[in-house]
Amino acid sequence: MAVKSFAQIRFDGVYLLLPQPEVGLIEVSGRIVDEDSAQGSIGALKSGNKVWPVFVLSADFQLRQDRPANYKFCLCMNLGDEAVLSIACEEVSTVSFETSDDLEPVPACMQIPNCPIEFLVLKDIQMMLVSNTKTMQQYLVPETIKE
Amino acid sequence: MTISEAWLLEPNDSLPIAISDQEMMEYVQASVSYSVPGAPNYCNRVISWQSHLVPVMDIDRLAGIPSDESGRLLGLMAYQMQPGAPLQYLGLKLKVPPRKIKVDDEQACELPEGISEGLLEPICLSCFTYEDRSVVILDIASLCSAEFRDLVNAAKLPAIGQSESGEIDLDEDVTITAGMDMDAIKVDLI
Repeated sequence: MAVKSFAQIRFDGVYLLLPQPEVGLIEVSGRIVDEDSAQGSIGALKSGNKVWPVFVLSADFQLRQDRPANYKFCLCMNLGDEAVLSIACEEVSTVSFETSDDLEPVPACMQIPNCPIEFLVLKDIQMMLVSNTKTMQQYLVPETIKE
Repeated sequence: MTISEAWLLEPNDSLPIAISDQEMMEYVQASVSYSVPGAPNYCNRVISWQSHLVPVMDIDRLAGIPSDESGRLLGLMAYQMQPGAPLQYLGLKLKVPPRKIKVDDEQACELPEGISEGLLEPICLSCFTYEDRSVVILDIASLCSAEFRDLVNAAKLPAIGQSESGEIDLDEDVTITAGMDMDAIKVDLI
């Protein structure tokens, strides 16, 4: 049975799941530095030679340029060895599903252009949205995608 | 004369619609629905039904008229994007419970003026008169298609020059079918 594990973050009432294997780092927001790392980011997190631009999202996935005080954590996502992006959030935890069958593709009638949400899942009467680093990269930092 | 059975659905007072007997699954009073952030405002909630997450569509919002936010009555319908494809489901917000009716071919009529010029026209299969009202037969698969969603999005995008009145005019030849290429759809803004 294939178990799929996700990092679960919460911001603005939204639960977003990103693949656990793509998590590079979980960092506290206090370590965000002012750096013009990517358009739309509020700064960056650094670790070793890696730099993650930090983004703040609203419930409807619009970029914010302020970080609410309760967004105390940042989930830093990688693609392979490459640091890609970080999302500021209120909580970070993990969640696992025993099969991919629990994840339902977003119905066509609910999708909007460029929306990074690929799957929906209901767990413990909580709606969760599922994406991945590549899709979030296309949504947040498309200019960094290598051909 | 051919008599068919259909379900009469009334999302509001002004737009009765009909779907085929085979498409109607259940009528439910949904006590719990879940918000899907980022989804279009006319279809941004789902309900959990028989292990499926079923999108809930609000025709009033789609048509740009005030919606009864407290409404919990849903007609649940099934459709296929193409023959042999898995069944998919849609919940349609209703004002009153659906009614099963019999429709005679001779009741066929033209689409009412508000529909024939609007966004819903491409997904109307036909129309008939019932109880002195025009009832449109909707193609549920097309209503739920990516092509129709894109058409609605295009109509609402100010970046492409929506008129002050917000009206749009659909090319007369536009028809939308499941799986249709978006390039085939043309939207003219007045």
